[in-house]
Amino acid sequence: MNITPADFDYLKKMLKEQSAIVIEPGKEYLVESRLLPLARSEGFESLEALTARLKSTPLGILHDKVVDAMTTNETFFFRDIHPFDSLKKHVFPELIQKRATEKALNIWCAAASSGQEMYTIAMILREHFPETNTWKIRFLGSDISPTMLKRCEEGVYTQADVNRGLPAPYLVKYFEKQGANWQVKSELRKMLELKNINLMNTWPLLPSMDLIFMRNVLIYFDVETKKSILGKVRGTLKKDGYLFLGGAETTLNLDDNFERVTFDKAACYRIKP
Amino acid sequence: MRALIIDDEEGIRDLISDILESIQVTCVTAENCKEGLDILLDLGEKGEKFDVVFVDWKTPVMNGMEFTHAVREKPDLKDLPLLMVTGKTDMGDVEEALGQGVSEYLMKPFTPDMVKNKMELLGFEIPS
Repeated sequence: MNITPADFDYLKKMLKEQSAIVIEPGKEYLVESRLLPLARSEGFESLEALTARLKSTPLGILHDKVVDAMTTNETFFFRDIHPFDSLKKHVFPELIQKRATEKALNIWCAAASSGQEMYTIAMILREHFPETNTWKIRFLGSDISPTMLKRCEEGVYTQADVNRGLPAPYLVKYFEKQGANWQVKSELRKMLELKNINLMNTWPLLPSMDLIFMRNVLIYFDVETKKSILGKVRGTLKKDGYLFLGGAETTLNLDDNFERVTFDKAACYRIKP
Repeated sequence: MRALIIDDEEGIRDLISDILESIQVTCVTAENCKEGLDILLDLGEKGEKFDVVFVDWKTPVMNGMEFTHAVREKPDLKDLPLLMVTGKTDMGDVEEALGQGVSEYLMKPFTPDMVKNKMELLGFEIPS
């Protein structure tokens, strides 16, 4: 059954208000594919029945679950590969040299999703920069979705997940087989600190970051929200730190205080001097 | 770019060929590792080479591990990217294959994206 225009409008408005996510006209299929499983698991006969309940009750757990379902995004290890090559070859060597005295690094994955990006960065750090094993590494992962944060914490991935983009040498070194699944070893899981952060709201007090990964998040927001988030990023990123956005995202025409830096085939951003 | 695909299942050979040909890789196939090794060495004698080899673990006559060992013994093939494609999914299997000199490991079943991701990991540019 297709979603009615009235229900689509209601969900679009509610999602915009609660999470600043912009659902474009024509994305009815996306709403249906994400929310129909939720409707069923919550005991509703249809998406229409779920929406009727949402409309008739004050904002609460069910609304949060809808936001959760709409913001849950799968990703994969070493997604897009080039940003991680630039981390390995340029960004980490530079930051590690600059922080050699204090021996501390603050890293933030601002849309941790199911955790693959965070664990990719953690593996690169362990694999290529063992000198940082004794450093004070504060590695924060945040997401709007509690479901995703739980997945990050557990670090359990299916065979299909590890088949997709994860180098085999990393699989044998940093994972353990758990039945049919693979779990990230505790030495890597222990590195992470997980927080539920809605990027459009006021952020909790965060340490100044050397590295922020905020990839494929801004695309969901309208221009004003993008500007607001980039402003907050600027307040959180160290003057010589680096920001990574998704391939289809930019600070251009949103925040002139950033400059684009290119390393080989990857681009990232830092605050203009 | 040229790839050699070794698998005793015709469906798997065709599937990998279709995926690689979609990213402009020319494919040659073999039904078992002995045949694959002969093709590989014949081409080497002509002064040509494959850029990557997809090899199944279990094939008749010679298996993928024996093939890998034979390839890695040849000095001019020691850096040839070898991707083991197999239904063996235990940690020990992956460790054993890497220990023998396999460059990457892809577990069956797989999707086209997974094949392309592995090609990227081996350093190949994938046309978008």
